[in-house]
Amino acid sequence: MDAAATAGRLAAAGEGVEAQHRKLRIGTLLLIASDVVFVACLFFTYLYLRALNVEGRWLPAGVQPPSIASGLLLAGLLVASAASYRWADLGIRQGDQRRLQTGLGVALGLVVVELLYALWQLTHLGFGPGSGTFADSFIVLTGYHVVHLLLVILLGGMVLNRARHGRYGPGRAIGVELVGYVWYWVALMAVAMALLALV
Amino acid sequence: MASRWWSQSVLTGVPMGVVTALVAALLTRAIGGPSASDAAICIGFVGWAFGFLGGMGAFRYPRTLLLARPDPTAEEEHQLAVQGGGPWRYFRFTTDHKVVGIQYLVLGLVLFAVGGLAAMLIRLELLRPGAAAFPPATYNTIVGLHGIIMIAGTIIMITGPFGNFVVPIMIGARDMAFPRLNALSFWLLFTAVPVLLCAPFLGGFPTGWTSYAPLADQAPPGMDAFLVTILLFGGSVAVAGANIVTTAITMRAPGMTWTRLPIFVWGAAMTASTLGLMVFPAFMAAMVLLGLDRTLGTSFYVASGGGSAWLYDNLFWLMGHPEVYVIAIPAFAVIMELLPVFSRKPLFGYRTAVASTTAIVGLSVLVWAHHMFVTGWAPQLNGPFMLTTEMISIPTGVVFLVAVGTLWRGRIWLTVPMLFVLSFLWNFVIGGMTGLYLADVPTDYQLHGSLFVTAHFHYTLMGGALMGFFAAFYYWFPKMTGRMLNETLGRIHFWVTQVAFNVTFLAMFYVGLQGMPRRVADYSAQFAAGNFVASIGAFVLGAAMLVFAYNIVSSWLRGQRAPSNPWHAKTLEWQVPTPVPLENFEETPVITSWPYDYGAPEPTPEGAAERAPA
Repeated sequence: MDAAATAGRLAAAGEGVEAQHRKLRIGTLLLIASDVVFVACLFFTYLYLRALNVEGRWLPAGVQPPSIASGLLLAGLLVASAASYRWADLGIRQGDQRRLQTGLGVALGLVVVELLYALWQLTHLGFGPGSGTFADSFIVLTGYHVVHLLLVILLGGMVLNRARHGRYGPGRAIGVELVGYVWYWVALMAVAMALLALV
Repeated sequence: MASRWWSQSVLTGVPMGVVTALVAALLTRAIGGPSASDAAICIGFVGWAFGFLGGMGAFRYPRTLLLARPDPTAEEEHQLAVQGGGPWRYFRFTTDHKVVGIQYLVLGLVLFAVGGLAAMLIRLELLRPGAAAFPPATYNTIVGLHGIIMIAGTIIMITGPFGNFVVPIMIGARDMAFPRLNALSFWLLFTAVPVLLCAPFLGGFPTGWTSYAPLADQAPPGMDAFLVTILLFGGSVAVAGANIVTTAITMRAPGMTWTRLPIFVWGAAMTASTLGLMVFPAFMAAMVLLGLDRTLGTSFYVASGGGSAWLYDNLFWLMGHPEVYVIAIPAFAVIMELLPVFSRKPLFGYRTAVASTTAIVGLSVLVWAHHMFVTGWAPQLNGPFMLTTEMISIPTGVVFLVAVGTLWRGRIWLTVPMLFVLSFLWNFVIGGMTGLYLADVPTDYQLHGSLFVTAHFHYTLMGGALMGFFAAFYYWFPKMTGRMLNETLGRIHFWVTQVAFNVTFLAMFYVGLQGMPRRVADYSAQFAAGNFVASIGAFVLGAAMLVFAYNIVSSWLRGQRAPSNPWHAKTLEWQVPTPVPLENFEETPVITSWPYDYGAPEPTPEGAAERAPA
């Protein structure tokens, strides 16, 4: 069977654009779901060890948790970034290339700022691994958040590059939408981490 | 596109993987110093996986996206699916789901062979008290390798080969939803195998497959190989899970409604979604925390630093117990798929079967702490967890009702696959009933650390799930390879396996009830007779597997050519030619009825003409 016949048969089988998009949406959301479980386990770890360590064992002498404001700042940056991304996504659905690139650029810039701030925070904590279970739990959560940010920057950079080459337009912006799901999930995790600081 | 036969294959993948591993490990060691040896090993293994996949060409498409190059043409997609044809396509990043299914099948069989060899070594050590075939540390590593290889093999053995090869055809699709991810899931799994096999050369690991902390924190560097193996394996099953579920949801042919879906597709999708997406990430998280304890000096599982071994127990069993139930689901699905074919009757209670399977999956995530009754963790929760665990026997019993209802007054066709279906029913009843004693708190207190648990576990996983695999293997082998397996050898394999299996593990129940602890390399003389019988049974079981292996090789090479529908079955995979064409169907099938309308009381040649309406 040759390639032309393959394409023709796929089209005949109803593997149209909408079917492809539905497939991609479901697949992406399922993969994100597995990451949600992974993150939930890290949160469980934090809460479990928090409940177990009482009478000063959670925060040994010399360990000061970062301020709540710092967590809120990180969450705020990512929420703003996700909002900008969503604005870009909605723009390209109407064919607005400039809005796509502007929104993506702003969103990506905010994530880079977030990454730099998170890295600065990790290297200026005043405590490190082995400084008690709060320190360990905080570092693993923030560390995984940094991994998420690197992933978002990679995906965002890809979308921006493809946008610059005119690869997106109305009806063919599914790639923007899919990366958006990852973006929103990472922002949601940042918010959840900020709330965790209240526990 | 690759222009030479050897490029972007294992011949380029392996060298690139090895080089990347060495560079990554040496760099880590150079930056971190001597104290970073565990980190160097972990990062080296991760580097191996990335390098190997890069050498296989797995990153070509992501690079295309990243650099905003034009999407692959239909010609390029076609080339990726066939990879030049011939046997070499099995060693490349080939996207055709049938190739991936065969790849999974062969790798699964190799894993079983290695795990089975380890089992023989274990039984050699336990043949008589005082035996010293191996030093204790080596014995522990062999037990751990046997455990994790068999668990991993059992996870992939049905959904990997048959989920990939058969499911798309069963639902009337031309391929899986994401062919590239399909190839990625297999090759990611492949990268995990050499990593695990490195463990014995790095000092081994003393923890068994459960890798309990804090022992795992203190274990030799072989533990690093173990934890990276789990991360790679977890990544593979997550990708495979998303792919199979998306395929089942979105790729069904017109008319293939949920109530017409073959029961095997239900089973494969439920397993894939639960194992890969819902529970395995918990094991991965547990391994990440273990890795941090070992490399960065954190104290997640170390009590002196504020951590807790109970944390590990919870994370592990959050995966572990859904997993050991859910990996039996594909076997359940296989027997429900095959029973109508070989009873020539409609599947009894199709919707009930789907609902019961769903209930098993749902309840399985609520039972994990029954593994912790004797640990002292939250005794006030023992009652609720005992209840949820015992409740799971209700939907399991309903599945048996479906099976027996299908058999009832059917014209039983005792083929080799059907023999294995029946043996599943026998063995799994024993495994399930003995499980009730372990779900019950007072009896679990008595039995938990004994070989009774090992025997129970093997009755469910080997007597149940593995028999389901054998049934599936004998059933779908003709479609996958175009050859029939030798019937006589198949029957010899079946009968020797059944007798030897039951001898081995009934003897193990006996010594377990006598009080023999598990996870030991030596034992008191009072357990000698039972262990001797169990070891002899195990060796005979090993011999039965040699018959099976010989049958596979000889039949695959020169067995009788298989007709397109040797079982006169009605599901779609039997309505396409053998070998199956690249895109499975000439025209997209349109489904107008469910696949179990077996009206004829016995298999007849006319039955072969009954096809799913197109």
